[in-house]
Amino acid sequence: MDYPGPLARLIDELSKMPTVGPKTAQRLAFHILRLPPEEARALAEAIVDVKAKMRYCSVCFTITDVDPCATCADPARRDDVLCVVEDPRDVLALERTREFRGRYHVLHGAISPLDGIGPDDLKIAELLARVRDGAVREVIVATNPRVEGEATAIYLARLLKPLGLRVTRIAHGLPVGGDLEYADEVTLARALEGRRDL
Amino acid sequence: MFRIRRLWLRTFRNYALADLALAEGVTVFVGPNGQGKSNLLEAAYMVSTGRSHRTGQEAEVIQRGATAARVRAAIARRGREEELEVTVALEDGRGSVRMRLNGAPSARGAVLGRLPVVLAAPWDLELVRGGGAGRRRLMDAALAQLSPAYFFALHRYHRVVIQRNAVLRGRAGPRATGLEPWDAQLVALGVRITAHRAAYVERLRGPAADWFGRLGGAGTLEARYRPSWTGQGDETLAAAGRAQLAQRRADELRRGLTLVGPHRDDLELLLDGVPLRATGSQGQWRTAMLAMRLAERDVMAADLGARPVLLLDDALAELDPERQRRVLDVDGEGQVLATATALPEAATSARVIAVRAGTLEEAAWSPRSATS
Repeated sequence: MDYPGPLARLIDELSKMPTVGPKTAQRLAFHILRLPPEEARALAEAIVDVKAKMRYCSVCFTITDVDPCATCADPARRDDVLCVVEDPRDVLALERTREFRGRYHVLHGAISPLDGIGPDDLKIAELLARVRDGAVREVIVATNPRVEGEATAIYLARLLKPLGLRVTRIAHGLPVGGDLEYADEVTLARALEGRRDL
Repeated sequence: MFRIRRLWLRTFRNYALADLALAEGVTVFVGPNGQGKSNLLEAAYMVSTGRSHRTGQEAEVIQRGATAARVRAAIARRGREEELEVTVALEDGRGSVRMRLNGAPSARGAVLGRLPVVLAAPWDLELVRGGGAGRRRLMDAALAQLSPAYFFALHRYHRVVIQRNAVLRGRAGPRATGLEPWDAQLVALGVRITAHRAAYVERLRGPAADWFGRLGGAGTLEARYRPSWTGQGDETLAAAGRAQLAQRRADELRRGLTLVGPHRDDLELLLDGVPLRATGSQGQWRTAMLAMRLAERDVMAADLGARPVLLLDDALAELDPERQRRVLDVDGEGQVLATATALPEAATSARVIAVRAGTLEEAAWSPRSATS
């Protein structure tokens, strides 16, 4: 037997979500069906809200509900250091460290010729415009350690160094709190590769 | 110490289900052709490396009518018990390979080297007459098991070549980024691959020549690395790589292919200074390849501090008993799994398992059955 219209529609919509299969969609739909009306409404409003209110920051291109975003608008942050990342999620990850007090720039991807993604598909022209303003002295390239992220880093270094900027790359290696003994070999090998003089 | 203690197969080739306890020392699987002896060695090779040595189409190992094949191995590794598992599942008509280490889904790079193996198979003859790809794989298979850093570099290198080829074909608009971001990585990774391979072949040469003699090969076998980039030291190698890239640029753009780098390396096999493929009989080729595999085991054993598991697929048939003995001698240390259509005479202390149409049966060793 098919589910009645509205329930079938909800299951249908839910099953379009990543990692949600038909069974999970069903379970979620029945859960929603049993919610008190105000909770169901809150969920629906949250979904409508996120689409209506979230946008990209016009300065750093991270996701935000106010433009410019809180980080860009914060007068206490350093203007001379700019951290370049691939994805808004990377900004959140770095922010959780509470270590970095400079500004961010989100590229929205990495160079990947195989997927037809070149510099023009990323926020690179915007990055150049930002650093030409003059306050930035150092650009930290925190793109992913995959070969695409590495290629993007090399490409950026070639563009930025002639502008008299210091360009640095974050180190990749051991997770802190991990004992050497238990680190997997690839991580260890990578950490060895990125070793520094003491 | 590296051992397979138990091998478990499910809808793998002609085995609907098999559960096999393995001892240390030598185990010989005996039976007529086409009964599934080699499939057992293939299963052991796959569970430790994630690849089949017989096919690039992993879906072939899935039994007809099934949607997935699975191999699990209980292994002993440096005194610890571990479990490896490989599953080949049909996805859109192709085989997708997934590996597990002690129950947890794991990347191939994290599993490789857990159970080091060396495999000698009739297919090795193709390495003599075929193109360079097979001989590069001969170097890579051992190195990837010995060095996670090598596997990591090789993996990245191949990705760089694919991306670079896409740039050469102009897929990212009008050569948007240029080649520089890819050239830099190609050279850096390529230098490390070249250095690893050069050091490995250097160590392989002696044992390979020795084994060729011990197996009764006539003449002197020499293995020689033919790198794309030559030079002493990383800087010289990198300079050679950059120079070649500059020199071949026009060619590369015309053909839309990366023509320079270790993915074009070769391993030359010479008999008395003449390329093996241009000389020698099939018998000599076979002896040469077996010598290469035994040398591989020696080099790996020296690095690992213990012998890798040796898989001998139909590799004993043409050797006389004395030479069989030399191959099977494990010095009370190490595990050998071998297949044969008739019991090898030298396998006096081996455990013998009869294989018939995908069923396994312990057989008492009898010198008569070896000759009848």
